[in-house]
Amino acid sequence: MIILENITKRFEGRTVIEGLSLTLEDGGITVLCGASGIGKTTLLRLLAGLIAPDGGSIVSDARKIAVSFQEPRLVPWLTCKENINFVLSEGEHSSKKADDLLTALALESHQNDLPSTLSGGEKQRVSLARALAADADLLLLDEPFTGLDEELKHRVAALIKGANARTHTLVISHDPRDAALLGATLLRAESTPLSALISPL
Amino acid sequence: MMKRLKKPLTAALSLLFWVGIWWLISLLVGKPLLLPTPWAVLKRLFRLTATGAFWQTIGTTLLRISAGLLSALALGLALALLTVRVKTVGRLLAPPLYAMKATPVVAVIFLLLLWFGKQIVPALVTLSVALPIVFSAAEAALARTDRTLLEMARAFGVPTRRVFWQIKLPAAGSALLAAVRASVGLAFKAGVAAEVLAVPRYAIGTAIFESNLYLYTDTLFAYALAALLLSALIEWLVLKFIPKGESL
Repeated sequence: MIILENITKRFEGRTVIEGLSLTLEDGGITVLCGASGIGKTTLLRLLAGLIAPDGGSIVSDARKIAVSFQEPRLVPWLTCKENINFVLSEGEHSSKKADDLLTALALESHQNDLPSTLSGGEKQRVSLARALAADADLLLLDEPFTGLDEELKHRVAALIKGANARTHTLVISHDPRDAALLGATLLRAESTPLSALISPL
Repeated sequence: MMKRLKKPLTAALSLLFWVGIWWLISLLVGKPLLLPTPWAVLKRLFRLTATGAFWQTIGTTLLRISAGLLSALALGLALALLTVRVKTVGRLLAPPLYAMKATPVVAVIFLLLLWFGKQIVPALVTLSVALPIVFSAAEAALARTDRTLLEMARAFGVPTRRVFWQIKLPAAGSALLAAVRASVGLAFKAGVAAEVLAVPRYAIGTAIFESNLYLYTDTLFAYALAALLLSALIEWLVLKFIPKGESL
């Protein structure tokens, strides 16, 4: 479980998040929707432990975190498979996990290719495969469905559900319909600065 | 086709123009001891290339300069890696590196000649000229190693050792290639200048010095031309075969 209590985050004098409280239940999937610049990615970075809140507290029992960022962030000199293995523990390198995920995301022919040879959408899928391969307690996915056709979208949704993150899976999306696709709880971010997340139901 | 030929054609015409000017001045001066004609220099160079001593001279100079350049690469990378990890090292290294960069090469050559043997001075001078360039390039690349990649590694909890070997070091390697491209021409010129003053055995610089001493002006020009062609060849090889490095 993850409990955020009265979180505040400021950037250069601008308050992005103010007094936000949120509980993410074990094993659940949440889709967070809202306009651009409202603070969704800041919330994701707080949960990933990449930035610290200026106020409030985050209590999390997630030990292993995996993130698929909005931009792919692939290491340019590592092949697609090596990029996935980069985040896995030494023992997991020889497993078929990377191969299986690349195949599931229609990237099997690119296993040994460098990111520079891939299209933007393909890079994003490798980034997603990397996050899914990590077998994380907390899975944070920023716009994982962007640029996917319907068939791949359903495949990705199945993979996210199948990843079964022990603590929680948080998906940031601009499309509220993604919640239904994932069988997830939908939360909307509407206020600026972000102070509450509204459940439409 | 014409478009592709335009660049080398312009370069050749421009070269011919300046060779023509040289020819004209040498004819006007009319004293081969002061300024030989390009034809006389070319003839001399061809005669020199037929001797074993010429190639021994060129080879030994290349060896000395390569030794200096390779040492600069190894030392520059090691110091840059250390600086990125321990900021104090960077502050400590700043004055000597600035001194290496700013001190006139001739002064450095004379100082090194005081302390070391003349055989080793050209390599040391090459090292001192290339080291600050290599260090700055490697340090800058290491420092700017894409923060988003480092952040990704941090989010996933990737071990520090793996981040070093798979992100930081390749990024530095990429910078080293850029440093080699930037420093090789300069290092070669400084190395030959050091040879002129140190006069070691078998060296282009020594040949230039001795030709000047005995007023063999055509030989002096021939060796200077050989040095120029060699420098151009090295730069061309470096530009052609050493990649610019993968951008982050």
